[in-house]
Amino acid sequence: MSDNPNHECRRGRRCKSRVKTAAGTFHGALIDRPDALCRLCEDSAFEAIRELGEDYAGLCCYRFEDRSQSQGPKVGGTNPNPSIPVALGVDALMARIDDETLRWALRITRGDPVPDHHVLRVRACVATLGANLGTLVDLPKRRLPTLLPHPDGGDFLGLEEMDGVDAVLRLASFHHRAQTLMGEVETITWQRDPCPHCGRKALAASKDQEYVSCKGCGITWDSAHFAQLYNILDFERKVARA
Amino acid sequence: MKKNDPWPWPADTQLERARRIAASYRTALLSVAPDLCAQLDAKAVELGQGWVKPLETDIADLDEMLSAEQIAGILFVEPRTVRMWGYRGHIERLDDDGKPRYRLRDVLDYQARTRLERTA
Repeated sequence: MSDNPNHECRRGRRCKSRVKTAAGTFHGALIDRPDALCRLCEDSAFEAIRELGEDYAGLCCYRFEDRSQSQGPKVGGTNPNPSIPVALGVDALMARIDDETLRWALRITRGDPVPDHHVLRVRACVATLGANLGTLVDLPKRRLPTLLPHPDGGDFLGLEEMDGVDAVLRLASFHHRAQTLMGEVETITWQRDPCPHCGRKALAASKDQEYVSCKGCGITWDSAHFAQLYNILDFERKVARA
Repeated sequence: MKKNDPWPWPADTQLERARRIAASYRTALLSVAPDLCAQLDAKAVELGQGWVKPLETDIADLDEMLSAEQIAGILFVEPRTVRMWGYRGHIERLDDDGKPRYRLRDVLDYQARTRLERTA
């Protein structure tokens, strides 16, 4: 383990390639450059940022979907705390995606004009960021204006120190929040067998059941080859062995 | 492990061997009588033996933080076993608002390590 914590992945114990010390504590993977992300965490964050334009468009549609319960509880009187008929969580996330993508796109392009319409603006900013992710993650630390929570409630405009890694992690987190809000999660079929390569029980079949891949080490087999590795009734292999 | 064990996967425990044989029978049945296989699957699940068929889940990210019950549902172990692994330090326990959470990747890594140790 490095003596200098700055040479650990900035995601710390939440790093995708984190390591466990003899003392049992987890640390981010070691990296060459200080105050950066490891390759796996960086790739994952970049992938999430590229999805932000689609996420924003999805949130726009999701905001107007009717999610009211057709058969609610019987009304017995006036509710003193009526629910708000606007999806505030969706609105807040959309505003944050718009603000942050614009902020970082403007820093990269040094103030290029952006479309006025919010959907087009986010899409243009995400396209700019997607094409300059390497530049974005390397941006140096700066004090930037941001809304900070006020101790007495509400927000106030303050200054926060942020660098490119903060920007990448923040933008990537918006993708995950959008996915969670919209309930867009992929259904996968987990096999019960351990992976023949890494031993993790993380084998998942593709939707069409044509391929089996290990979520742990990333190796993929076609279903026929996988059956040869796993099925006890694999006569061909017995014959080949004989 | 026996010296001249003909079993192709020597790291398998007795339970895993039994389950693998059952899975082979299931695959064979599925290819000739899918309806009958579905009936038997449903009955097995009803009796608490969900391991018999592949699991359909929306958990695709191994870095997801899950409760012991959720991990138990995926890997078909007892929730208390997952908690015990956390207590003994085999997997990291991360508290989220007072609720213990575990990273699925840690559990899979730990299981893979113990499997490797069985073959060594």
